[in-house]
Amino acid sequence: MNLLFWLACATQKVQLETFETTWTVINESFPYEDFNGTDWNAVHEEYLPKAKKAKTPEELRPILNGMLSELNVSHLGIIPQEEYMLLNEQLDEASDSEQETKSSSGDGSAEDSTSSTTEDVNSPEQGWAGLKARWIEDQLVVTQVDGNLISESVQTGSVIQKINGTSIEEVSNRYENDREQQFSVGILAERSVFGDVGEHVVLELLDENDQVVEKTLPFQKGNVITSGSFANLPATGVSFVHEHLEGNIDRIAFSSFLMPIRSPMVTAFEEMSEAPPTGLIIDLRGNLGGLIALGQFLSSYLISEPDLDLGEQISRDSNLFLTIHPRPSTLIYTGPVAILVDELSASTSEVVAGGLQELGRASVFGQQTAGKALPSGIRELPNGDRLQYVLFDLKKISGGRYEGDGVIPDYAVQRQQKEYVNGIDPELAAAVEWIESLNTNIKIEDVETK
Amino acid sequence: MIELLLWTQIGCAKHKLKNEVVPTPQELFDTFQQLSVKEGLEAVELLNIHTVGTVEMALMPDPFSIDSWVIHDKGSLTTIEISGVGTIVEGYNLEHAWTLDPTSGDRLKSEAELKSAVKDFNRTFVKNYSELYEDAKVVGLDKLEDQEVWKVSAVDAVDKTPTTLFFSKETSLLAGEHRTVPQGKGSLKMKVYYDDYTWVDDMYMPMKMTIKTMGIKQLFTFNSVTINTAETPDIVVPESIKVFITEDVGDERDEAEEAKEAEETEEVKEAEEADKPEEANETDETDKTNETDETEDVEGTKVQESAE
Repeated sequence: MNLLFWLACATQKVQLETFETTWTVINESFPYEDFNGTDWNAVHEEYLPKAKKAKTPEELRPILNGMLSELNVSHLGIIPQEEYMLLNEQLDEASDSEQETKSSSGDGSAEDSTSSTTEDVNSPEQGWAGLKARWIEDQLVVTQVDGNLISESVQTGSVIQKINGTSIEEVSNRYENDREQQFSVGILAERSVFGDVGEHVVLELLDENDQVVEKTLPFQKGNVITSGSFANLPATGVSFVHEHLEGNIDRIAFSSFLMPIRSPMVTAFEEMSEAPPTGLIIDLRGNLGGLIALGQFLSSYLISEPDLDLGEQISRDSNLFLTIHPRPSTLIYTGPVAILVDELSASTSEVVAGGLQELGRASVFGQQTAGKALPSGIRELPNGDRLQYVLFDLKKISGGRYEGDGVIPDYAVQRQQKEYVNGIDPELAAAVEWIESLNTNIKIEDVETK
Repeated sequence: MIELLLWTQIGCAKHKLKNEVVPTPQELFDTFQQLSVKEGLEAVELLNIHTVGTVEMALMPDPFSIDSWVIHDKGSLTTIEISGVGTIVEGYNLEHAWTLDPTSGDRLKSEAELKSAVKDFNRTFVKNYSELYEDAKVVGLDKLEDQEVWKVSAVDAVDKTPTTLFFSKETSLLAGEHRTVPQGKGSLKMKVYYDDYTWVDDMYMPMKMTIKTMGIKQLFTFNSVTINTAETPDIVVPESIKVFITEDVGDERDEAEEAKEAEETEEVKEAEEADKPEEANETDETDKTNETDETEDVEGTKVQESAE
């Protein structure tokens, strides 16, 4: 009996230590000493009595998340220990089957050395179910279908009602704020259609005749590259597409700014330098970000002038400019650039779109971006859970912040389900029309400008 | 009575501090530097240093490996292998400085970045710490991670940024530094702590270094340090950087030509107002300025100046 009492006391003590550690980490590292106008000491006093009552991590988590939400920023939260244990198991399995990776050769340039890191052969192979969906007109609409991957009769414009048995309506009802609803439902859809090859996703769809149909879609490799477990992130599926559209317009699209996109990006710009298109569309819709340096790298193919910046990275003890270091002039694309963004374009995507927009190098089409652009770190807490905490803030060159407002497109595109039913991608169509108008001096119509 | 006791204690503490012999910054610098070399500072001339080690960093599951050469007559070359990212190389060959960066791309360093590379290189071979700092003042005794230290405030002689140095009172060794490091147009504050001083040949060097910056802690552990190795690697500009040097020189050539063209136009205007014999002389002068050799000399000087 005494032992049980002692154990209970010890566990409670650990929860209290976890509370204090969480508060202290934020107190010492939050990018702004005024805590965005929040009295952080008062927050401590408010949540301490609740934390003292918590006996388990499960009881403490909502208290900590409540305390962190007082700061009203993204990239702050508690990650349960169980999620991390799962990741560690994956990592252990990966290291057991570790293989020698090819080391760099040639003149030692980074171009050579990264070839070994573009794809992780040790992590579970990632695949895509072949579709994308967005929250449009209060429903989850299929906006893109890859005919090469989907043999089932899934059409763009179809409405998804359930994903793996989860009701989309129920999920959407959890959010009062339209923007948050759009983001959260969109993220659920985006994450559900990527997974380990061999697994699948089950969708309940409403077809064009309003009939409910269930589709089981396997995750297939397609053009998905498996990214390694970089910086404690689990293995991720990353896709990169470079395609030639009608009218000599090129489109590059990629799902994140992780290392596997670098090599195909280099190839894409090399090809474009040999046969320059009349316009380039960079599709960052659904791109949740990644390494900011890769955003600088992409921009370095579009800007020839030195010492220009995409933004500024601010922390308590630093202000670093996200400088673009131009590639050799023969590789720089000098034609018109349109960037497509939507409510799921976050973090590095916002810095690239917003930075190039402010520099006057690109026009941005689509939807207001997520406004979730705070680089963060993850550290272990005394009770085994992990704290994700903000390391820096990202500022625009014009002085504004990416967090919150995100990027407002130059051309906000109205999306309607019926367009997708008719096989039209309105955001892509607007960008194509803009590039064609530049070449023919025709004014853009049917595009709502801000 | 209690008040009197407290007053006495405080009074004693003050008295003790007053009696502490406060060293001058120069004394602290000299003592540390003499301690760093077995037979005294004059006994060893550092020609090169090769360091191999690891860097453990919060947020990254695997440590990085680091291999660094600093060679007095060749330059410096640091290679860092980061799992999941690739190889980062920082090079300086006494003329050009560069980065091979698998994320943001390979680049030739210029202006502030070049200045910083030169500064870091020169710092390795400095014989007197007072050359590195200006306006050094001993602030007093302080605590640094449980050890008593002399706190010295100073200004970095090159960057003109504030710096605080901490010398162990017990060992006189440099225990830490708080620096502001310029990074392009911005800057970052860095807390550096030195630990595990060990004899490497005739030099006493820290085998561990902790850097805290931007909320992230990095622990450097040097597994192997060798000094004055007979054979050192050549530090060669990589192919991927040569193209930037060519373009840089090309840009300068363009600028030089533009400047000369403008000068020429001005001279032609002046010549139009002048009489004929003078006009002939002006033409000769114009021809001379178009000679390639002279243009290249101008470029060479510019590159050399920026490297210095």
